[in-house]
Amino acid sequence: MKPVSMIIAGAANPHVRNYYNGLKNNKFVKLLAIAENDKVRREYAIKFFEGTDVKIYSDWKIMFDKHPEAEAVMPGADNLYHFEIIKEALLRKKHIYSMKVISMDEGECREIIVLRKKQKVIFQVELELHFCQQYNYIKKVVSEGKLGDIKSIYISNVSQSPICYFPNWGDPLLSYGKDIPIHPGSKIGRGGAITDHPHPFDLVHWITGQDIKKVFAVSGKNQRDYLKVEDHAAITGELANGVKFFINPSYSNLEEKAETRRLYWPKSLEVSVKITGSKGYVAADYFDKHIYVLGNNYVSPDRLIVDGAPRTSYTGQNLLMSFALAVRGKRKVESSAEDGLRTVRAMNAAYESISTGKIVYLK
Amino acid sequence: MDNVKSIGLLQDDPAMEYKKKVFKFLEVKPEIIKDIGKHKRKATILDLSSFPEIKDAAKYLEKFPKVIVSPLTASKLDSKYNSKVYTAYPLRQWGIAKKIVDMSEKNICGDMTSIRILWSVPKKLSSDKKSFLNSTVAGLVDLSKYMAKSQLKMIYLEKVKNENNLFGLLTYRNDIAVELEINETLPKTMEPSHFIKANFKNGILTNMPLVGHHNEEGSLFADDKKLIHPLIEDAQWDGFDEIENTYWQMLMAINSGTYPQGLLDSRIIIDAINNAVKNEEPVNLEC
Repeated sequence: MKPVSMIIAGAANPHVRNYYNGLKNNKFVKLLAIAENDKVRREYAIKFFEGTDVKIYSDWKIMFDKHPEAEAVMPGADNLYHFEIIKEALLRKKHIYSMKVISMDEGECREIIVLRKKQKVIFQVELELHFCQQYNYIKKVVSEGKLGDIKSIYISNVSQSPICYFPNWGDPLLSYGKDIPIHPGSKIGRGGAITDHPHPFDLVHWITGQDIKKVFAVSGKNQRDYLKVEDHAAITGELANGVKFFINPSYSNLEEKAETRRLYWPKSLEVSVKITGSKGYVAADYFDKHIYVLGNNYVSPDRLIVDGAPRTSYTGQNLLMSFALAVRGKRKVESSAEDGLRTVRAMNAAYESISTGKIVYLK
Repeated sequence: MDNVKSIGLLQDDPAMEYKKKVFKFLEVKPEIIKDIGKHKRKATILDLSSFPEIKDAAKYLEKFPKVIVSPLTASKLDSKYNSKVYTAYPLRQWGIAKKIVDMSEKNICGDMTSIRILWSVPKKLSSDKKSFLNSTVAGLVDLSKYMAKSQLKMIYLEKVKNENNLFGLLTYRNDIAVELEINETLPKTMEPSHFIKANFKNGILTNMPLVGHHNEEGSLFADDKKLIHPLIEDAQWDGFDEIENTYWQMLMAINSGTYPQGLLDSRIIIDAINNAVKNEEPVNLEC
């Protein structure tokens, strides 16, 4: 299969760097160029891809003009700029591999969906937990009826905050797209834990096939006084079929205030999925195949941390592979733009509930 | 115990056997009451806490200087009985909660910001529906209040209909948010789990395991017949033993060319093992 050629528009999302290693020699995706206007992030890319034929630009528009041959775009800029980049990419008939949310503005999401359909291109939203085998197992167990009727579902996506090394994520405008207080009159704006963690809102639907019907949410006071966006949120509610759900997307696992990633709480990420049914119960966490690491030459040097031990899967696909296969017509897209919009609607409902103190119903 | 030498119990106390065992352990005499009207009181405390609700509590309160009552009974009492009553919220004595309160008071972690409480119990140990709400849930709400050290501002519950399974969100006047996950419907093969995670501006206090469920690897699958900790390498593969799976993973590595070819020093290894066992001496391989 011919690799899908790709250009990356922006590296403001911390996940973009996670792809760099895999993109150096990837049989499914050929990286042509990266555009990043932030000097630090651009120099990181220059250094990383030194000696390769990956071109680095400071302006994504110039990159688009210079690479008409690119088949796909990864919009990795701050969420504020997603819509503009994605729209331009779609007008040029590029397939899209979007970092997390299309936009936190539902109107923009809808406009993108219409344009995507018109342009007949593939649009995949990066919701990477679909590719974790333990959550696939849970989805399978639920769909096979091994738990009986589902009664309740609990999902946490608790992490450290990335803002010490990606300060843009602490800016409500860059992150949420608008500066809206989390509570009326609050100096804390939307754009933190909820915006950064769409996964649990997506997993609820992905596992159960049900949409969220009603939402009630709270946001406690920030652990980080210096953070201008919310670092705590807790959401509960009901799915369309009456199943109760709970989501915690908070930044509760503390990190050191340092310019590189340096954990305080040893576990960077908790994605605990717990499902109770009439006949059984299943639970999994992200690091359920784990290793404890204490090393002076590792991420978070000289700190005890929990990391994952590798899994070897035969049938599993990784993110870029699944995207490339979808582009080549060999499979359906894993997480579509419509899935992305559904997730954003649920997240915005949570924000609205926090702001009003009321239950929010999604139609 | 130094001060409490005997405790009154009604003869139909639902937890009589357990309480007798406790009293024996604490060297306290049980004073069994058949008819409160005719009873000649010696004990200074009467324990009614195991009754989900005592409707005519006043007659007991008139008779005994102090009475331990359930939260539901306490909720119906006139405030004039405030100094005569102990409300049974025994979770205030839970070690992890006491430690959180103590460390909070000592400012070990800075200001508290939120609390997560997980209370999961198999159905074989679940309480009746009335006790679930009025003792278990009430007890956990009180526990959160005890740790938050503030007055309750808001409570919201999503409860599964007709089941002892709910999620809760609470806020306190000092802006601490509390999350409740209370589930007493788990399969019979499971054991109870009770965790608290308290988040602070400069730290975290918790008894939640860092990894896995109960510090074991793997996911967890349970029904009424079995409980397993499957380690999922591939959701489509029906085999959960991490070690057993290394066989087919070896085949995959051979397939991809990443598995080393050759004898891999097998003769050295096998001979050394057999010699070591046979001779019960160190086997020196350097020469």
